[in-house]
Amino acid sequence: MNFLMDNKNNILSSSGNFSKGLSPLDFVVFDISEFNQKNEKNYSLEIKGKKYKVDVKKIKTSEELYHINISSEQKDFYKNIFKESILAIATHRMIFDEKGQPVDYIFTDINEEFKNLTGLNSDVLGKTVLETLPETEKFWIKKYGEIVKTGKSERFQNYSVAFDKWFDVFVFKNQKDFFTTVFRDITEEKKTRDDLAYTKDFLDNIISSMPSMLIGIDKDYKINEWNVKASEITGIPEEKALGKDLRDIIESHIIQNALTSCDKENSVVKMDRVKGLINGRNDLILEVLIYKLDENIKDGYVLILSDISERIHLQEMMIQNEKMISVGGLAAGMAHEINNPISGILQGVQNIKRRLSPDFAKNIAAAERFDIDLIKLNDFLDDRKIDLFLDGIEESGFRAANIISNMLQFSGKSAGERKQIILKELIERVYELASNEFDLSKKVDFKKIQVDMSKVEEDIMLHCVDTEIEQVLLNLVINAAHAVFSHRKDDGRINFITKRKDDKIFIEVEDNGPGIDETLKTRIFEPFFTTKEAGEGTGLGLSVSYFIIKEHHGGDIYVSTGEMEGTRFTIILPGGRKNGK
Amino acid sequence: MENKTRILIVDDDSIVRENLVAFLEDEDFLVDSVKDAEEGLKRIEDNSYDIAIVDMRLPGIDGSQFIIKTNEMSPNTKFIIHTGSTNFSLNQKLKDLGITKKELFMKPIRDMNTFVEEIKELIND
Ligand SMILES: Nc1ncnc2c1ncn2[C@@H]1O[C@H](COP(=O)(O)OP(=O)(O)OP(=O)(O)O)[C@@H](O)[C@H]1O
Ligand SMILES: [Mg+2]
Repeated sequence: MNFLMDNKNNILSSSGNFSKGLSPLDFVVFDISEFNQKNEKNYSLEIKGKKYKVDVKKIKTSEELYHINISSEQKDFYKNIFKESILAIATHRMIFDEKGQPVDYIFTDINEEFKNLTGLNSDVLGKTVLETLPETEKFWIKKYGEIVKTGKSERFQNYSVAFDKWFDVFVFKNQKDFFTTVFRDITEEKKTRDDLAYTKDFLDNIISSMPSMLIGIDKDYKINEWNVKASEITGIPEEKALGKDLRDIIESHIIQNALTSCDKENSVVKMDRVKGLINGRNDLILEVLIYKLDENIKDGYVLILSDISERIHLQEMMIQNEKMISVGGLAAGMAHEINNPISGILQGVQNIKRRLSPDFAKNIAAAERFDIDLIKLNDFLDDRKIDLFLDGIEESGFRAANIISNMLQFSGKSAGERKQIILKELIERVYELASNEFDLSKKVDFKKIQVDMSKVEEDIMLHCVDTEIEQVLLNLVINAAHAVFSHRKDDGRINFITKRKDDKIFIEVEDNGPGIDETLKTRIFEPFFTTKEAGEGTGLGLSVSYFIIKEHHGGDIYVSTGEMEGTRFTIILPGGRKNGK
Repeated sequence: MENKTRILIVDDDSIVRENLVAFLEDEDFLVDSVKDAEEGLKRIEDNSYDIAIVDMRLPGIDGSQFIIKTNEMSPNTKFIIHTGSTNFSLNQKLKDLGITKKELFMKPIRDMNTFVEEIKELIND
């Protein structure tokens, strides 16, 4: 507030608006003689508990007229803030068009930081923003216009083309069309923040798309990281897993030692082929990596669990394959060499039998020459059981011949011809053969076994050596029937399932027998591996099947635990087409 | 007597050979047998055979060559292949001579009557 005063303390005129609750009358307490006494230009004055600054100027010495400027110290304080602020501050007046739309604004005051930040100077005062910075986006004018209209202050962040910078802006309305902007440059900050956000997103992405489970835990096993794969494998979603005790989800004793040595050695611990770690997922074989986190950052561990079942399965198959091929080569070679001696045995027996027969004309003639009674000779042979031994030789020869003919299948190629057949019909034939076979067998009653063929598709065609595939499937059903019957007598079940997937045909034979011990799973395909009693099985069924499927048909055969907890054999054959090719 | 079917057996396994000879002789065929293709070719030169039963894996000239040469020398002779070779399959040359799978006998033959039947069929052709 300014006013003129004479030396008798008369206020001659006053202008300006002072702080609230202060009227010029209050200043009568101000004694100008005091000024003369002190002869100071600046005072501090307390009026009604508030501090004011008094600036006195003698105008006309002759008349003892004084110009007195009284300002609230507080106001100065704000003025200083305005001036010295480390934030850019500017005041503006909004210009509206005749429709009341904000179109531009005038700079009415700017502070130092504003100048630093924008590179503008006081020349802008009185000018409009579009005059000064024509590329200013509509956004700013519109936004400020709204604030002026509504009187609601606002804080926001936005990019400005004019400065090629990001600003964090606080805007409030002063009076009428006036408003103040307080802002700072956040370009760097934002870049850092964006970079961080990007890095975090990127890492999150990696973690969630990892083909392995990634689990973070603290010292007390509380889960603090749980990626998508972890949810997928355990069936526990992230929001449920976080904060939970890991020991409720996995068999922690399996990795207890690893955690301890991880602690001691401060290094990564790797465990290969871990089974049964995750509750409810005993089917998985895992590779476990455990890292201890830097204690200064976060105390705890990161576990990476990779499902290597498939890899192990492939490895085992490869080993198996090599084993089978070398065994197969050996067996096929042997078979070849044995065929001649077996020919000798079988044909020799046939000749002996015929040449001893009392009905054969040539025998009768020869016997006469030697004066031998053929009937008596035959009684003798019978009495001395020579007939029986001959039958025995013949029977053994046949058996050996059977084994050999099976072993012959171990060769790389098949002797048979490929045909286009309907898979379902082939399976029905196998079923037929199997039930006949069991009619003869005493040990197993095939009729008591429930055979389900409802999952055999109607229209799958197969290009194969049908007799061989028949042999394979027959062996699988017979094996299944034996297994089922050894295990349970009444509710035995065998399921046939066929499927077609991407040009591949899947044939499954599944039973609810005792299953196959894990350690035997790779051995059952070996030639002559059998758990059946001597005379009941040669152990060639699966090895022959193996060669027929893998070598002759370029397919695959493997064993697993089926739906019914028994055994499931899966055959995969290439070239699946719909009926009619 | 003159009309008897003449058969030549070529097989290096003497037991197989002797058994076959005995069985076929009992069937009243005229049977000669040799242990290799070289000897077999000599016999072909001097005699005419209706049928040759030939093992494929032979020392020296193999069964397949023997058949081809025999066919040149004696085009009317028919062939039965009797082999223990698992990986044997008819090659084109043999097929061209009219040999089919029907004449392919894999050792061991469980019943030699199958030879007799095939021989009779071949002669009656
Ligand atoms: N469905 C099944 N359930 C349980 N064990 C099985 C099953 N199928 C096969 N096996 C096991 O695998 C072994 C080998 O089977 P494979 O068919 O090769 O021979 P085999 O049945 O014993 O004899 P062969 O088939 O020569 O008569 C069997 O003895 C049995 O121990
Ligand atoms: Mg079997």
